[in-house]
Amino acid sequence: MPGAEERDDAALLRDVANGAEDALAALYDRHAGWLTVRLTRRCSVPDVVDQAVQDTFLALWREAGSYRGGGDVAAYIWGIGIRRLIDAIRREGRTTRWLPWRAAEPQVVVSAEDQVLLGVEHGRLGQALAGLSPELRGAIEATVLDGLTTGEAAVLLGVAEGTVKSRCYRARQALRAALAQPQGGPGTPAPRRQAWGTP
Amino acid sequence: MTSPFPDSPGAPPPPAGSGHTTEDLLSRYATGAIDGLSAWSVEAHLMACARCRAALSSYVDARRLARNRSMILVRTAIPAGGRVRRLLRRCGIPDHVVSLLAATPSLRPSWILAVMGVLALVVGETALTSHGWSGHGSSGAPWAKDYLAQWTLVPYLLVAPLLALAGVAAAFMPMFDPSYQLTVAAPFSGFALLLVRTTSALSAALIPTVCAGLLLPGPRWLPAALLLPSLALCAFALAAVTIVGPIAGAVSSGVLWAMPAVLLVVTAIENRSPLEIVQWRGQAACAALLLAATVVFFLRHDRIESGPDRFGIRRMR
Repeated sequence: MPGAEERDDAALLRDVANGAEDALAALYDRHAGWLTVRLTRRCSVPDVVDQAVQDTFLALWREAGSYRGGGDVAAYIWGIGIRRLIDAIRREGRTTRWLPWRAAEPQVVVSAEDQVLLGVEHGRLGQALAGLSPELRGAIEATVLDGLTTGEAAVLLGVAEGTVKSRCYRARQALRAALAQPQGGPGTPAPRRQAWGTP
Repeated sequence: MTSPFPDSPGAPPPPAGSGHTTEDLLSRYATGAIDGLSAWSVEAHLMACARCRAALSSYVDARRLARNRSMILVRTAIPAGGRVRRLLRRCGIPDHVVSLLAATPSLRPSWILAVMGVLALVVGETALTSHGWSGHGSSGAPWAKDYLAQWTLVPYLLVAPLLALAGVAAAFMPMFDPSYQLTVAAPFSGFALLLVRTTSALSAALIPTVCAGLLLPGPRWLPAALLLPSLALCAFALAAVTIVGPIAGAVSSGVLWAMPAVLLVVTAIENRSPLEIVQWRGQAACAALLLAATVVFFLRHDRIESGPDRFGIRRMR
């Protein structure tokens, strides 16, 4: 039998289901790093992220048998991780409601050159997404990319569930409008604020 | 066009112009200096590319990863519980506290030793208090006898809850406790752990004493009435630990206990009444304290782990 370092993720998961601690440790060494970084983008409180990472691998330890194969192990781990993060936020939120969960929106200065390249390379969908406000993009990210329910997304974004629904609705409207209008050529990407609309 | 995702032909298009390398993109992703769209592309790519996942791991503080790793291995060593444990967890008791409690019944010698110790203590207290009590009504200079009996009770009253703590601590000494290594590794102050165990032992001892009070003749409610102050004090100390930390929690609960104990004895001497603490007023005060401490503990239960490394490690970003 090859050592834990050489086996692939699915084999490690099977061993974890059979109670092999070294397989869990190998999975941790392989996946904890990116999971920590990706969760940190969703929640800026390191203690909560650490708790979520621990809970994720404990869940793997206890319920590794529920992995049915097929899907990628990294995606499986991410699916557990994001929900454990939401649980951790819920638990923490009961005592300290004022903490800013959301990772701060990075202050990125995009040069005009980059802006043009962005528009060229992403095409119309890219332009339309780039034109969304951070709030609308956050709602889309949580519900579409992370696959969360609106209730879970509300915990993650720190807003009411109805707000998540309305933001998703507004984001869909903005995307639809941006995709429907004729493209102004590759050299003239839509102004960033155009799609935000009026409040 | 040079792709920032070198090893996957089907990867999404490069998000931020040509000329950016994978390393650059990953470091910007890890530090947060990246726009939302590029971040989405990186995340989509990460799910498919083991090499980039491994590269991203180098941006996380190694000590932080190592600490979480050891925490996970400690927590896996504790078996997952059944229905009762899930219920406790749903009530808001932190997972590792449930684990340490759930581990206790399986450690038969230590657990039985602890509960028996508490019961023996209660029997002793009952005998002594009954003795002091009966001195009150007996013939021949009752005042003097009462006076003496009350004064002999002062030091005993003061140390009674400490005796319970000491007994439980002894029951969980390394020679009796197979989980000793585990508790050393747990991120838990020793005092908080002792309090959790004493509270559980006192609660367990309360059941037979209440049954005995219902069924058996003799001192009736006195044993249970003697247990309640200890239980209330332990719960108060646990709640205090979550607010001010283990050392200040121990001191404040000690002061809280000593003040009424002295006051009680003084009033007992002045009023020539039997011990107020086992009367309904004292019991009601204890019950109120127990209730308040329980509420505080449930609200702040996640503050119970207060190892020095909780705030000492370097944070990302």
